[in-house]
Amino acid sequence: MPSITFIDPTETEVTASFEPGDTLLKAAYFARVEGILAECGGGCSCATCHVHLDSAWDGIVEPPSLQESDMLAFAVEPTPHSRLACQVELTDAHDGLTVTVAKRQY
Amino acid sequence: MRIAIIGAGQATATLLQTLIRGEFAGTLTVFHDEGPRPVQRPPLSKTFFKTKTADWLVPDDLMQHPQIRWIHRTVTAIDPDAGHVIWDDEHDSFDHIVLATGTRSLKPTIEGASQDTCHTLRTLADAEAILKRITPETQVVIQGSGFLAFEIAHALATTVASVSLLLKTDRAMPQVSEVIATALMEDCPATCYPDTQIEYIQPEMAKLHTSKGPLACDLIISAIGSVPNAELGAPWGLTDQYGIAVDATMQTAHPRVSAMGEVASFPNPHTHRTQRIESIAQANDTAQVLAARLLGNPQPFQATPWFWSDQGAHKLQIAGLATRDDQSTVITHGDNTRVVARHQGEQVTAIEALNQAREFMAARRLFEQGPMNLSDLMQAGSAFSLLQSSRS
Repeated sequence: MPSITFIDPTETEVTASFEPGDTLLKAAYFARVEGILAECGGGCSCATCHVHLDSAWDGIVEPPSLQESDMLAFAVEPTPHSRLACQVELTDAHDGLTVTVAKRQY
Repeated sequence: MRIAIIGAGQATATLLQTLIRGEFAGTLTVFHDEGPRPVQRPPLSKTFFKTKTADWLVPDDLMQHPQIRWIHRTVTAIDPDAGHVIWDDEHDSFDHIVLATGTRSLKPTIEGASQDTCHTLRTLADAEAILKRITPETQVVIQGSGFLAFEIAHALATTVASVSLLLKTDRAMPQVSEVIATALMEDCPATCYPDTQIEYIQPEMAKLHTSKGPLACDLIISAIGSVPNAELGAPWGLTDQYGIAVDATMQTAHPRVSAMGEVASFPNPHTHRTQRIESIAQANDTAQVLAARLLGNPQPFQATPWFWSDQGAHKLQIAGLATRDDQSTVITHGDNTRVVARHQGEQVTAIEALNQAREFMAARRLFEQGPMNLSDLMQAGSAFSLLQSSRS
């Protein structure tokens, strides 16, 4: 199974396996990654699953929708690499990549 | 400390995670009766009919956690004085009992209806029963006026032959402003029949008789509301007219019993009314408040209610909570976006944002800061501008 490594707010690395088609949130949730609240359960409605991708993701991930960008504007200290984990759909191309969970969700 | 939790919905999932993360020292016994393993409820009316799979609510390690025991049984009674939880012919004793029993669908009595033709949608079993009965030829009639009815209409529209939606009154989604409801109605794939009541059904003729005449119908889905599962608390005087009555820390009148989630009724600090609220946010927020108390750090409920509904390509997000009688003032109106303030005079009670996530999030932040004034909002032109000016 492909996997993603999450770096949680305490800088602990957690490896989460996923199936292509899963979201980053689903992978994180089932690996019980610390620091992702996902209050709305993955509906792009709460901006509490804020993560930072690194440059290895460039070009292999769909850009955020307008809805997601609007939500991200309210995340804590968003960067150009900020995403909501619930909106990032994983494929085999993402196997082995790293994601940093935002230090604070609010 | 031994805690029994009755019910395994969103509030229970959050309570378990928060207690375990908070290094709770006791044991947690969860009684649940909705299927072998709890699932996430919101997708059942949104994506389930396409994906045909449900997502687990609770991660594996909490299903197997040494401090958590799962008992797949229906609790029939509690005895708070003795600390007993009773099911089948068994009982066990606990130091504390949490009622997280949620709600159940209101089921109409329809003349001529059988189990096969009449459905409600709340549990995975409900969704699976509907899935089993629908084919590309099925003619579905949905009874209901709220978000759930409209979400189901969108979810089934591309899967079945036809979807009709029977509205109880002339008004769809009476909990939101007419401007928003009208925009959502315009893009609803179902044929909507306002002011239409069901009279009887003739399943053998695939016909439903209504106050407006007959309709082709193989299957009815009723989404007409829900009732709280408050029965366990009633013999102990723990209920009010809405559900299980609790204070701002989710404590009932009995020191050994708490309640949370959709069944819990308490004076809401945002609306200043005693009420139950059915939403994911309410489930999470009440569970957090209860967890804090059980971890020895009690703090009162302070959260602002919020809601969302996915209907086809539309996303409606609501910050705050209005009553049906609150006034409506349109703040912005774009091609496919609407932002409406609900208010009682000058006091804004809710912001309804259709495809306008930025306004929704800004409104949530504003409500967290304190009361919102309609003239200030109108002058700023948007919740986002008002938030920015409040911060500068």
